[in-house]
Amino acid sequence: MNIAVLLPEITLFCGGLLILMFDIFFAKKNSNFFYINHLLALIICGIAIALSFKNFVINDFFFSKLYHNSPLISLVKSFIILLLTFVLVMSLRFVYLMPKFSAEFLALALFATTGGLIMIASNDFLTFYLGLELQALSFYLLSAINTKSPKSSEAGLKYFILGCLASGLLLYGISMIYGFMGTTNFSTIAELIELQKNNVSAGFLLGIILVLIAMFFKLANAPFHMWSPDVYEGSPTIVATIFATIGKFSAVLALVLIFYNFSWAILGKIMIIVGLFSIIVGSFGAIFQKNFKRLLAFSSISHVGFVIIGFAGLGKNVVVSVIFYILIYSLISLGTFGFLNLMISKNEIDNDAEDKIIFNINSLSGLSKTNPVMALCLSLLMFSTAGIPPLAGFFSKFYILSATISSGYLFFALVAIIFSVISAFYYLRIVKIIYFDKPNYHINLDDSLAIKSIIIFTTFLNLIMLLFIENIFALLNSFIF
Amino acid sequence: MNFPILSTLIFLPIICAFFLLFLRIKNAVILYSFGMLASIINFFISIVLLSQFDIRKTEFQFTEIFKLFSTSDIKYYVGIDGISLSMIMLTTLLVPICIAISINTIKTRIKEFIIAFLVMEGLVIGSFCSLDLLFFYIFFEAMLIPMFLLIGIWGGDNRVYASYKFFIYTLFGSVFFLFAIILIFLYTGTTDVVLLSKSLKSYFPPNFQIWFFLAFFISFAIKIPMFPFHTWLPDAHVQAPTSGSVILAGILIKLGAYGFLRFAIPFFPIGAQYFANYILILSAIAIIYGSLVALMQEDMKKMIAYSSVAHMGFVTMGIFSFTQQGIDGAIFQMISHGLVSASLFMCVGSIYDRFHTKKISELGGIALSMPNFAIMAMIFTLASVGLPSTSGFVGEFLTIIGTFKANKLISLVAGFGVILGACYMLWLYKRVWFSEIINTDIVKAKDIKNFELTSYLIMAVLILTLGIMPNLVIKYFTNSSAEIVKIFIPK
Repeated sequence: MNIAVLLPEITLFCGGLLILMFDIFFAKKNSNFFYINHLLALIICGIAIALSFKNFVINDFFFSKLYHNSPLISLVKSFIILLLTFVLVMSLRFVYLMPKFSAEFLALALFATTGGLIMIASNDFLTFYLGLELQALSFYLLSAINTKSPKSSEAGLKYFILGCLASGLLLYGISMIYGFMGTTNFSTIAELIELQKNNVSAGFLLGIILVLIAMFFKLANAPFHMWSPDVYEGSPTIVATIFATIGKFSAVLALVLIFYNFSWAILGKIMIIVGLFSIIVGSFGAIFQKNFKRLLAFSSISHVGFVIIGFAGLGKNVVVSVIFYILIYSLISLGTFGFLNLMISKNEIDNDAEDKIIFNINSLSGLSKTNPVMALCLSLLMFSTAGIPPLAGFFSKFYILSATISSGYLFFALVAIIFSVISAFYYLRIVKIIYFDKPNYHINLDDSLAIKSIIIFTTFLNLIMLLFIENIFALLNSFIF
Repeated sequence: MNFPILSTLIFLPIICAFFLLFLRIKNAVILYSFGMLASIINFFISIVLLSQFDIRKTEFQFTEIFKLFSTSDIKYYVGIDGISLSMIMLTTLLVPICIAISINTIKTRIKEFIIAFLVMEGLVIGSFCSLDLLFFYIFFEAMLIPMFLLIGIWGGDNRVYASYKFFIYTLFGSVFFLFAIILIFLYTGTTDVVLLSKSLKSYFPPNFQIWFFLAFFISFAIKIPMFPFHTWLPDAHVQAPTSGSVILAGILIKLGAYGFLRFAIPFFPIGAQYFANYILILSAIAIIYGSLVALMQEDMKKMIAYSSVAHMGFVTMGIFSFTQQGIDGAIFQMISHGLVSASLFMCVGSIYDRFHTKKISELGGIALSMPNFAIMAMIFTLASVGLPSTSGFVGEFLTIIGTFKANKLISLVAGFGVILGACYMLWLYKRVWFSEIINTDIVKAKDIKNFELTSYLIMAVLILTLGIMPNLVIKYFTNSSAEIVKIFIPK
């Protein structure tokens, strides 16, 4: 019974090990082995999703209260593994062009997702740290995995050093929490806080703030966002996709589930200010970017700012709107970063000199003539990120703003909306380049049907989300008690 | 009346556009026929709507409700009254004409053009009939996307700047609107316009009403555009293609005035009364300033754009006089200006097609080689001036009468504005159609015929009919404007 709960994580982890084993033993015999590896990874993901759904009805604490499973957690886990499946489908070209480390790539992606799942399902700070570090270490390696590119190594090194700093702060915070509360277990701490009637000691607050700082780093919130544009730009594109979709989603959900137990009123002001700062930095930072990857990195800083603002309030509808926002954001990111995957150079992966030309947003000009379907999809995704109705991005912003306003932070909500108008500028610029500019540099988009269908699918979801909002909210509301 | 006629009006163009998206047709004739067919079918459906409309009722008719969310009160709720009906008729009339006049001018990416137009038609009709605040906002904002693409893809040389300015300026105003909507929703738990019109004024204390009215005001004032927020209009008009200008001047700017009538004033009458004098002053400034700036323009399209600012000054003046004649005049002026400025932009488009210039200094003496065109243009010029027997007169006359009751000085200034209007329009006509011929292209020009002539004739007939028998239109919305006036009568 106990192990059943951990089966998705075990599947993914052992699957990663299996891929590594296969690579060691069979790769030399067959040079096309990476296809089989790739397929194996997809099969493992499928099994993991199925197992995760099986756990839907379990709602309990396990392993002496270190691990928590509830319907919400199972649902979220399934979604993360689904995102991973989509990303792995998109990674076929990467795996094809870089067979030397393809197995490591697949294994690390699976390990990172495992870390994310553990992070979400944790009920204790130590388990949380375990999951976080597993994901973080896998991410550091993933960002440096293109050994031929100095930029990739630079990105990996930056991420590693700064990430270790953040992990150090995290551990220090956990130790302070342990020192002042006597336990690291979330549920016990929640009870203790209630007993003390929210008059928590300053040491505990300091600990919580340090933990938050580490999470802000992971999410790339300002002022801890500096690594994000460089790492997104330097990493291989598929790795940046993993960061933006799975990385952010698992970090936000972990944050939701940790602080769901604690009272957010203590931390409301911090969240609002950090969130607002992120929105400002994200909006202004992207205006001058010419590199599409960096632009999307700054835009994700701004989006995470919105999420953090959502944390500032209290109550059930706040939690639901935050989860809804990050859900929509992951879908949109899947589409936009998926489009990035289509912008390729013909020969090598992410050759640095060509990168400057390929990922330059001006190279999108003429897209509407060469590939009208993708042009339309990218424009709709851009409008959705900007928050224009009737696309899904508008509704996610609407609910976060409603939650913020109903918690009383009127002025901050107003500032947030005004900055989202400023960020509309650079999203519009992408649309402008696609449709209005004269084509001066044709990039060739990849022919990959898989990636194109994923992009079309996410665009379609964006368009029809209006009809499903009620269902999603009802589902989420029923899980959060 | 169970058939969802309003939803058909809204979604038929959108569904047609959606189908067109998947067809790989490059033939211009087929595409234009498809577009014309879709918009003309929509026009006939709206005629049916007109015939079934009951003038005597004051509540909303043809209402349809579709509950999207079972827990909250946000729902897809559409219905029309006289004001909405007039605007919908104007829309369904103008869109086929727009598509018709672009047959000779738009030659690249025709499919996307037709799709953008049809989607825009659906969204505009949606905003005119929407009776739920959030859905109105959705339609209102979503409309920015096709307009952005229209100006930016098929526009003039500086189109990118103009399209950005249009989009971001309007979006900026709308976020305040969104903020106010969220606050209303959180305070009252509903976004149902019918319910809110009845009860909101007694629900909010006066100082709340002032702030909320201001939030609504910013959004609609940018859309109309009122005096300090008008700077996007000349750029957008000059750079847009002819049909884009027609739809922008004819319909899109009326949305702002419609917003005032439907939302801002019924919800927040105290706020409206608080600002009424200031808005009247702004309207008067718009009229005088718009006319004076128009006088000095060298580019025809820019001149007509500024004249739009001036004419919409009459509309806001009439609305904020809170009298029966004022509001009737304002709505009539909305319709009349829709027809007149659409026709003027069509004239400019015809000139640009033939002579490739919009500068007044390069034109002159067109009447000598294109007499039919000159006759049509004269009718539209005189309508813009406000000559009695054209619809322009009725609108200006009613609004000035209405404003006279509210603030005599403003109506005096507005009357002076009418004279200024005559100045620039007649001077324009003289310089472009009458003077001696400088441009040799003009001598060889072909007169308007067929499609163009038919469109001009339709517009001219409408303008003259409405000028002589304005009650044909006023009877539809006079009850609704009486309702609005009733809000302000102390019980």
